[in-house]
Amino acid sequence: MKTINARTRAAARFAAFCTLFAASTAGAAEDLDFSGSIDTSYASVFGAEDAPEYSYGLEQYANLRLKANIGERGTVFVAANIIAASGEAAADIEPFVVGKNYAAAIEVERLYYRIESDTMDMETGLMRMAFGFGQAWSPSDFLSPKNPLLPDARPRGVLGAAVSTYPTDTVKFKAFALSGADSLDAEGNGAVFGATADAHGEHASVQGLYAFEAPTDVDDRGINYAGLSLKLEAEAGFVLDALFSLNADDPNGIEGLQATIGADYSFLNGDLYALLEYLYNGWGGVDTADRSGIEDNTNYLYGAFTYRFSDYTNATISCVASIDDRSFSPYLELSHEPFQGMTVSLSGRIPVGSSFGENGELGPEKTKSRALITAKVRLRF
Amino acid sequence: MRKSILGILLAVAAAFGAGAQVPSAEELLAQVDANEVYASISYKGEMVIEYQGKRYVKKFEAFAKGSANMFAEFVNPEDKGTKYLKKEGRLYVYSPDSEEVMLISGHLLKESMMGSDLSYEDTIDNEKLTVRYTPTLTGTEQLNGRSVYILELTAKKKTESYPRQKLWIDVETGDLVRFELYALSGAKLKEYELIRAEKIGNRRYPVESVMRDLLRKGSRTTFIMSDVKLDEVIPDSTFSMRNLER
Repeated sequence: MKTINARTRAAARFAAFCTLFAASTAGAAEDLDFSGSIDTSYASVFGAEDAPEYSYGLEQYANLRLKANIGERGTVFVAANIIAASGEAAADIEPFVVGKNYAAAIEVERLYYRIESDTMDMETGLMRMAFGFGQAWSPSDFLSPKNPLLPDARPRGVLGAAVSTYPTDTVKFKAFALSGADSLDAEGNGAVFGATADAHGEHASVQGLYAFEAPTDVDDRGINYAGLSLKLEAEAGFVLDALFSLNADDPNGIEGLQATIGADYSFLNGDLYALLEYLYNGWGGVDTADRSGIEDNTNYLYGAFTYRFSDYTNATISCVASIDDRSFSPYLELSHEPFQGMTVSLSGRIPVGSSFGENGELGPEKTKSRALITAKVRLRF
Repeated sequence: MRKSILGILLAVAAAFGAGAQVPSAEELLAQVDANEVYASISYKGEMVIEYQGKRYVKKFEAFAKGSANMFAEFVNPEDKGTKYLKKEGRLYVYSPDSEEVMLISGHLLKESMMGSDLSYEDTIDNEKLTVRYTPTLTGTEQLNGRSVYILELTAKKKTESYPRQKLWIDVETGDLVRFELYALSGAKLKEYELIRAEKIGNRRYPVESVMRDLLRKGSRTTFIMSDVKLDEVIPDSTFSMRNLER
């Protein structure tokens, strides 16, 4: 109860800050943009193993974004997620209110500003830092990599600072410093420092990345990361996205590599879009479970087909497959736009295991689910 | 017999401006280019998309320089912050949802842009027709009460998205009042109609028009431009990754 009260106070302070921010910037900013989306989702889970045979989750989720231009060179960005949930959905959030009927949470998603000079941009605060061109997986996006099992997830922000400079219109250099994964650590353990270089040409884009993660209790000499991402245009699109991590205490060899290769193409005058990606997950010594939705295995495959029935109605069928243990996670989604700004979707995922090993990483035994069905309505504003 | 020959001669004379010199196909096409191909342009745009009983309105601000550079930012609430950059033949999109720049693959360029009847290629096309097509003047006719020349264009290169085009050009104003775009098979793909052209500087520029993609049955996109500025200086930095990511 104490924790809840503390969270309530924190949330109230944050809400007050947002109100003050909006009010103050409305007067001071030359240009103020407010935008966002609100989702209603209902999920039915048919459990496996020790999970309930059937459970449900109901969630109301708003993503609110505020952007304010300050003078000619400054921009402030604030974004927050406000969530009210019950059932399974309430168990997935860290609520500041748990009461009758619902639990509620507020997440600070972005909180940063950008200062622009003639030659460079500086950003400081809680921001999105994206790397790589991978679509299903993106290993070089190691701070908040994509997870094809959660295609709608909002990308997580990181707290730190970055400086970018653009020698030409299509070349960019960026240097960054970020706080460590343990937000309560006050000694700088696990802090990340790095730099990227991006170049875009007529038929290819390339990005190089180097980052160093400062030592922690687990890795005494820190971890070095080297990333390479390549996107090629040859009618079809081809992508290579790789990250090599070198742990000085425990050299990984090939196990330090996580890489994806893939291709995308469209058929039937663009009505059918296909994406295929293979992931090699040799990441040694680094926990990837909450990074890209994968854990134990080495070889994964992702395939997706999206068919457009009309401009307003789509169907997507996709599957994540763990090749090593022969478990699968097929997914089907139907979405429709009844009017501009509103999307209604119905999706289902059926974890499929095998008799191989422990039923497989993606199978019902580990995911504790035999089926997940979600209905969602999204409004944009 | 004499009467009918005289009648034909009079009709021809009337159609071609009562004895005025009939311009050649190349001159007519050059006139279209002179009106519509710009060194640079900036404008506020609105696309009203009507399809399957629905009506979507997309608003944006656009800048373009030559045929190689284009930048557009959508400002309607549902798409606010979505930006497009065409640079050196490639198209990049910034999505405010993912906060990432996405590279549009070549095979997607023929697809509808933001659900409209224009493809990505249509919106970034600013090359002179005289360079890309060989014109033939096939005659004149009356269109909406106006005398128009009819030009048929054949692509010089096999790589053109539309190997054949048919143009209707106002005899008096030189406005391109209608055109049709054809596939190699001869199938008509798209239709365009001018609603309104305005005199901007020394040229007449189309500021309101309707495009129909005939593969999307019953679909039409009305394209409205305002605050059009032609051939004014636009900084190169407008067409940069830096601007796209801002």
